[in-house]
This record gives sequence, C-alpha cells and structure tokens, in this order.
Amino acid sequence: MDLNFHGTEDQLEQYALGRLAESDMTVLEEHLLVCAVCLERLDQMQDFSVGMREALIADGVAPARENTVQRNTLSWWSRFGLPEWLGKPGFALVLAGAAVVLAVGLSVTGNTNIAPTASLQLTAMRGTMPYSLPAKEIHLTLIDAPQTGGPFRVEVVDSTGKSQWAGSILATAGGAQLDIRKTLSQGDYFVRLYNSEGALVHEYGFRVRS
Amino acid sequence: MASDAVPESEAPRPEVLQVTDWAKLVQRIHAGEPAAMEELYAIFAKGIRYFLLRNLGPEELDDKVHDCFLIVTQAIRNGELREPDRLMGYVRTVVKRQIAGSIDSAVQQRRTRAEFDDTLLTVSDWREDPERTVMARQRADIARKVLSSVSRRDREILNRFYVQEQTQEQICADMGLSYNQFRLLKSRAKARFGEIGKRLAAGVGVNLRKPA
Repeated sequence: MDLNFHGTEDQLEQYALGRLAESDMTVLEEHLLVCAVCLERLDQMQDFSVGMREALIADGVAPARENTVQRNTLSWWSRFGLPEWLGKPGFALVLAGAAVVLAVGLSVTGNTNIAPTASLQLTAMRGTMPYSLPAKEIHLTLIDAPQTGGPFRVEVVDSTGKSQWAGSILATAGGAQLDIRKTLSQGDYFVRLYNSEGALVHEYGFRVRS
Repeated sequence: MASDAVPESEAPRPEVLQVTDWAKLVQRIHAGEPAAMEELYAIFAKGIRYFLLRNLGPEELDDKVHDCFLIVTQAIRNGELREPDRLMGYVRTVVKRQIAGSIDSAVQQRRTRAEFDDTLLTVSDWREDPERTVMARQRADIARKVLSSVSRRDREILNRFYVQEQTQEQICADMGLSYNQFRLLKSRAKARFGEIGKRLAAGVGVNLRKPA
C-alpha cells in the first residue's frame, strides 16, 4: 500500500460521518495509523461535520414547533366555527385556567403527554450520550453500522442489562435503522448489534430523559 | 453562490511520509533489536491511541495501547506474521480486535453486575465526560453561528447532505448545482467554522448565542 495515500477531504468527511465504503475504509484506516497530519485533519473534519449535523437537526426541530403553534393559534376558532371573541383576553384566561385543571387531572391519572415519535442518530464512539424525550416510538439510526451484509441482530437493553427490545435489521448505505415501538422510561439504554455469527459488532448508548 | 472557483487548498497539504521498509522492520523486531521496537512505537503509537480513544474513551487508554503493542511484537517474535509487508494491516486488525474485545467485556461486565443487583448499580461505561460535553456543546454552538450566516438555500443544501444523508450527485441534480458550487459551499462553511473555533480558542470574544 502507498504510505503516502493521504485521504481526500471527501473521504475524510465520509469517514467522519460513518459513510465511507468498507473498501476505502481499510486503506484510509491503515494510513491514519501512521499519519499524524491526517489524524489532525480528521479531527477537524469530525468537529465540523458532526457539529453541522447536530446544529441542523436542532435547527430543524425548533422552527417546526413554532410553525405548529402559530398555525394552531390562527386557525383554531374558525376551524370549529366558533366566534373570534372567544380568543379575547378574558375568555382566554378562563380557558387557560381550564387547561391547567385538565393538565393536572391528566397528570394525576397518569395520562402524561408523551411525544408520538422521537429520533436519534447514534455512533459507537464513547463519550457523550445522545438523549431523547420520552416518546411512544423511538426511531434510531446507527450511523457507523456496517453498510453491507446482515441481517444483524439487535438488542436494546437498559442500564441493568435487562432486554427491552430485540429484532433484526439490514445494513444500508446511510446507516442501519430501527424503530422501537414502545415507550421507554427515563434512563440509559444500550443498543447491541450482532453479526450473523452472534459476535458483537457495535454497542451504542442513548438516554431517555425529560 | 456567485462563483464556481474552489479554493486551491481546503486544508494544509499533508507532508510526504518517510516510506518504511516494513519487512526489514519486522525482521529487526524478530531479531530482538531494541531500536526497532522504538521505531515501531514511534510510527504507530499516535494512531493506535487515536483509534482506541475514539472507540473506547479515555479509560485505561495507556494500558490498552500497551496491550496492542504487546500483541504485535509477540506475533512478530513468534514468527506469526506471514506477510511482513502487510504490517500496517496487521496492526489495524489487532487494534480492531482490541476494540471489539473491550466492548464485549464491558457488555459482559454489565450483564454480570446486573445479576448481582438490579437496582443499586448504574453499570454504564458511557459516563458523561464533562470536557467532551463542553466541547460538543461548543461545537454545536459554532455550527449554529455558521448556519446563521448562510442563506436559506445553502442551509437546505447542507441539511440534505449532513442530515438527510443525500449524495452530492443527488443534491447537485435536485438543486441545479455544479459539483464545484457544492464543494465551495461546504468549504466556505468549514472555513467559517474553523475561523470561529480559532477565535474562540484564542480567547477572542465570540458571541455564540446570538446570530450575526
């Protein structure tokens, strides 16, 4: 192998994002083992690409919520054929009070408001644990899962090692994906990916918290 | 994106590496030459350390690096390395096995401990590293600052690439972009990211919370 094969910017970026093809990965990783300059470049690329992804995801969530609130406020009264004066401050105060009573009632009876879905992108790197709010269904993307082969067996366990979900997934170019169709309570969870021979390939961590 | 011109260099050009004669190095280690061991360490220590840190975190890092070298040198001394020219590939395989083994043992440990007591122990090796958490937050803040300075269209292009994971070919076709325009947008965003990061590292006041 050519020792002076320095990965291109594109290759380093694909590697940092966990999207580099297996065939290119071997060559690049061997080079990274001996090239301090490329390790530095990879670090910078990792900071940038992961930072952009996180910021774009965070950015995408906030405006969507704002739009929903605004749309509901503008159309609510007319949608049900009710007069606009119901939205005047006096009535709004009464309605707000009723909403508080209803919310308290729901929380007492245990019917707390849980988001229908949440999604997380996980990498097998140790460090910070990505987290999600409690949701009825969690969509997980295992970014650096193998892009070929499979099916892979997946097990989701809680921090005590108790199995919470199990199934199998196929490898895809954008990372393996799975939907956990159950509400996970608050706590730490680990996603374990096994190959067809039963060997552990990756372990991922995430947290559910309010 | 007014121009198609792509910066000549997006990053400092990596230096030319001294080409090592792997077979000769393996032969010297096999013969027990201490200088050859030092050479092996000098070549691979940083890279091995990097991969272990990236995959396993900082815990017992020095021991894990040492273990990798032990395995490699033992294999060489025992004459188990069939293709000395492929030393880099062998080192990579050893590091990957060590990573997989460490993860496996962490998983087993969690299972065993959980059997002893389900409630008292929090058996996570994904402990929050405060330094990493601060760095991750800072990284996201810098990226937000960069995003606040690009147009809505450019943001959509970045979103398609980094979040929706579309290929550059698909993005260029959908958005009517040339490959150079696409690269230029990314390299500008990356340059801005680096610039803000440097200013931050130098202690120059950067207001990360408010858009520019």
